[in-house]
Amino acid sequence: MLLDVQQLSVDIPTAQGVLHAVQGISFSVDNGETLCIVGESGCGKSLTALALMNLLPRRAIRTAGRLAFSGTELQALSAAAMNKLRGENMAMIFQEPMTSLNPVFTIGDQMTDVLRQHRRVSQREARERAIYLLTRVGIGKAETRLGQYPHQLSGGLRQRVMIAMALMCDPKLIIADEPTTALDVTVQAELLRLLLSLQEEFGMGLLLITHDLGIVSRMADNVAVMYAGQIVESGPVISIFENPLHPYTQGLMACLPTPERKRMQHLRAIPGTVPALVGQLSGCRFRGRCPYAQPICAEDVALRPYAHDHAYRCVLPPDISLANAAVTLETNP
Amino acid sequence: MRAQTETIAGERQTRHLPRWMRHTGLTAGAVILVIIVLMGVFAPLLAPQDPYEQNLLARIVPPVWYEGGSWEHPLGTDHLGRDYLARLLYGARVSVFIGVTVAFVSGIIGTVLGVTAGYFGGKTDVVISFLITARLALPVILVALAIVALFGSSLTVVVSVLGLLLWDRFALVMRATTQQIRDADFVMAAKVQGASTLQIIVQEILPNVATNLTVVATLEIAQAIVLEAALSFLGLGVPPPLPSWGLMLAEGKSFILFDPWLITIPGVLLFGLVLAINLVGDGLRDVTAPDSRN
Amino acid sequence: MLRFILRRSGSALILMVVVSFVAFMLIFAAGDPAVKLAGEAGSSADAARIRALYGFDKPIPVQFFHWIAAAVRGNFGHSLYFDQPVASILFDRLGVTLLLGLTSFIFALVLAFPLGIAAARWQNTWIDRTALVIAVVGQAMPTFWFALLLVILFSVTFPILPTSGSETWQHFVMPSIVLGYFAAPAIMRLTRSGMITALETDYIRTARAMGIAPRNVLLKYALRNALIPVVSVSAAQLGYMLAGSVVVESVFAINGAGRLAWESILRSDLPTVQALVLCFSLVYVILTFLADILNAWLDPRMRLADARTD
Repeated sequence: MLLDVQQLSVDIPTAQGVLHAVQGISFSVDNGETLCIVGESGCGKSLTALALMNLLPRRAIRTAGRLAFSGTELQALSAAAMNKLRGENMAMIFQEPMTSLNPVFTIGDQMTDVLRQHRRVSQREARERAIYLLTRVGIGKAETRLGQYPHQLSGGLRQRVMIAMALMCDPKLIIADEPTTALDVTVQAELLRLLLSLQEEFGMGLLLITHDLGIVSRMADNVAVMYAGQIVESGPVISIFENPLHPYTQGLMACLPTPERKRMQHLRAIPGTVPALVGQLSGCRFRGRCPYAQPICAEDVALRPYAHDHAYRCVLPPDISLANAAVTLETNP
Repeated sequence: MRAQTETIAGERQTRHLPRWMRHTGLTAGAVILVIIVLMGVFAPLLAPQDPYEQNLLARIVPPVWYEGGSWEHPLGTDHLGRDYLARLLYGARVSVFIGVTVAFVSGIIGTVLGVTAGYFGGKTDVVISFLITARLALPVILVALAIVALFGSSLTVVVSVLGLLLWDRFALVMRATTQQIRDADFVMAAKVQGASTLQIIVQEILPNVATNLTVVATLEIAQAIVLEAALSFLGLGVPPPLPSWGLMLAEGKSFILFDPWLITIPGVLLFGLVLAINLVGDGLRDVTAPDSRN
Repeated sequence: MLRFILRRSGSALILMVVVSFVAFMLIFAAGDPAVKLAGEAGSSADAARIRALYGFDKPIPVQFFHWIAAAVRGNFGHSLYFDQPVASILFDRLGVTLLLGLTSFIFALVLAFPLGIAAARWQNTWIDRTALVIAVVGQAMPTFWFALLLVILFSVTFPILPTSGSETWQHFVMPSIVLGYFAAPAIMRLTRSGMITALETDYIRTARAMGIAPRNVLLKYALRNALIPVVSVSAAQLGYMLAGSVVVESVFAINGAGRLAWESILRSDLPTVQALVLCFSLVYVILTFLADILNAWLDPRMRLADARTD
C-alpha cells in the first residue's frame, strides 16, 4: 500500500466555533493506481490533499488514526523529514497555474531547485533532467523555456511546467488538486491524457481531486465521493458508475452530460446548499437536500459495504436506491 | 492551537467594546493626545508662572525630584530662569498649532493636486505625478531652513514653508484613492444625471476619500511637528522667546553635561506627542482598512 | 533591459533639470538678491554693481542657463563666505556625508531586514510585537533628541564614544545609529507586510509542496518578491537620511555637507546653499534611478514589460 489513510480529520477553529472540514475519512492509494476524490467545492477535498502534505493553513488541526506513506507513519515524522518527503516522494500539483509559479525566478531555476534540494546532483545534471521532463510533458524548445519566467508562458504551459516540476525527483505519489479546472477544455483533455501516460511511464500513484465526474470516469481506478467533510460513497470506478448507491452520488451522476442530454443548455445542479460544518454535527449531512430523507436520517450513518470494496453511507437498502436512482431525481425539482 | 483558542477567547471578551477601543495603539495614542492638547489649551490655567518671565537669580533650578528642586518650579527653570513647566505647557500650544495648520495647508494643496491627477488621468496625471516626484527630490529640511533664513523666522513663515513642502503624501494617497473610485458606479450615476465635474468631485469623490485623508493628515501633523522642532533646534524655526520644544532642546544642549534633564523633559513630550499622533494614525488605518496595514 | 535603463535615464534627466531650477530660484525667493548681497550698509550703486557682476540684470532663464551650464562643468559658483569656488569645498564635505549615509544605511538595513522578516515569519507573536514597538518608537523619535540622548548615554554617563568630529570610526557610531534608526521603521514595516503577503501566495505553497528547505522558502522564494517594493522605499529613505544629515551633523559637529548647508544658510552664503540643495536633490534622483534599475533586475515582469516573447 503506497498511501493508507485512516480516520483523517481536519478541524479549523473559527470565531463561531470549530469548523469540522474533514471528518474521519479513510482511503488508500496503491502504486500505479489512481484514486479520484470527487465532490463540490467546500466538501473538504482540497484540505484533505493539503493535510496529506502537511501544508494545511497554520490554524487548521489535523488528526488521523493512520497516515502511512510507503509504510511510514507521516504523523510521526519531524518537520525536516516531512520536508524531505515532499517533492521527493510525494509531489503536488495545484489548481491555479497562473499563480503557482514564482514570478521572479526562471522556470529552470525553480525546476532545478527541486531536484538539487533532494538529490546531490550538479546544476548541469539538474538542467538536463529539467529539459527532459519539459520535453516529456510536451513543451517544445525546452532549453529556451528554462530561461523564461512564468509570466512569459500561457496557463496551459505553466501547468505543464508544474507537472514537470512535480516529476523532477520521480515521486511515488502525485497529488493533483483540480489540476485542469482553470484551463480551457481542449488543454484540459491534453493535460489529462498527459497525466495518464506519465503515470504509466513512471508507475506513480495518483490522487486526483476534482469536482468533475467526467474527469473521474476517464482517469480513476477508484473513486471516493466526498460530501460535507465525509466520504459518502467509495469503490472501484466501474462499480460506482454502474451502481451509484448514495443519493448524492446519484445526484452528481444526474448532473453529468449523457448522449441524450448533451445538447441541453447546461447541466442540472442538485438543489439546496451544503450544511455549515461548524459545531456539533450529527445525522446524515445530505438529508437536507435528499429526496429520500426520513426521520431516521437524523441519526449518524456509518459507511456500509455493498459489494467488494464498494461502500456507501446511507440508510436506504441498495436495491431501493438503485431502482429509483436517476428517475426520481429527474422528476423531483 | 492553544494560542488560537486564547485569541478566540480574547475576541469574545472584548466584543462588547466599540471597534476602535479594541485597538490598543489607537486608544493609548488618543489618550496621550488628548492629555497634551488639554495641556496646551489650558496652559494659562495650569502654568505656575509666566513662561516668558526671566529670573536670573533662579537659573537652571532642577526639577523637584532632584536635590535643590522645589515646588515653586516643579520642573525647574531654564538658563534664563524661566519656569520650565510653564514653557513646556505653552510649547504644547506651538507644536499642536503648527502641526494642525501645516497639515491643513498642505492637505488642501495635496488633495487638490491628488484628486485632480487621479480624477482626470492622462496628461494632467503625468504632469502632477512629475510635480510630486520633483517635490520628493527636494530635501525638505534644507529648503525649509534656507527659506526661513531668507524671510526671517516667524511662526507664519514656518507654517507657510512647511505647508508648501509637505503636500507630497497627501497628493500621492489622494491620487491613488481617487483612481480607485473614479469609475465606481455611484460616480457614473452622478455623471449620467448630468452633474458637473466640480459637483462630482465635491459630492461623490471627496466624501469617499475622507477616511484616507484623515489618516494622512494625522501622519502629516506629526511630521510637521517634528520638522518645526528640528528647525527651531537649528535656530531657524519659531523665534525665541516663543516656547517651542525644539528651541528648548537647542537651548538645553549646552547644559547636556550637568543638567541633562533640560533635554530629556522637552524631548519626552515631543516624542510622546509624535508617538501619540502616529499611533492614532496607524490605528485609524487599521480600523478603517485592515488590509492595507504595513 | 537597456531600453528600460535608457527610458528611466531620460525621465531622471528631466527631473534633474526641474529640481535644479528650484534650487536656482532659491536665490530669488526673498526678493532682489543683489540688494541682499550688498547688505544693509550697501548703497543702490553697490547693488547695481553686484547685479552686473553676478549677471542678475539678465532675464532669469538666461541666468539659469548660465548657472546650470557652469554646474554641469563642475562650477557651482563662488562661495561668499569662504571666498573660493563652491566646488572646492563641496566635494570633501559631500564625501563625509555620503560615508555617513552609507554607514547609517547599513545600520538601518541590518536593523530592518531581520526584524521585518522575523516579524512576518512569526506574525502575531512577541517577536512581531517587539518589532512593531521598535518601529513605532523609531518613527516618533526626533533625530536631534535621539542624538542628544545617545550623547548623554555614551558620552556623559558611560564615556565610551566621542561626541563631535569625524576623524575616527568611533565618531560615526552614534550618528549612524541616529540616522539609521530614523530610516529603519519604514523599511522594516514594508519588509514585514511584503513578506506576509508573499508567504501567503500560491507559489510559496508550491515551493513548500516541492520540499524546498524552509530557510530557502523564506529567504529566497518569499524575500525576493517581498523586496521589490522595499527597494524603492529604501532608496527614498536613504535620500531622506542624507537630508537628515543637516540635523545630525550639526549635533555631532561632523564636517559634512549637511553641517556645511546649515552653516552656509546661517551665513547667507547663497551660492553654497544652492549648490548643496542641488547636490542633495541629485543624489536623491540618482538613488531612485538606481532603485528602479535594481527593481527591474529583481522583477522580470518589469524588465521584460516591452519584450514579451511568448
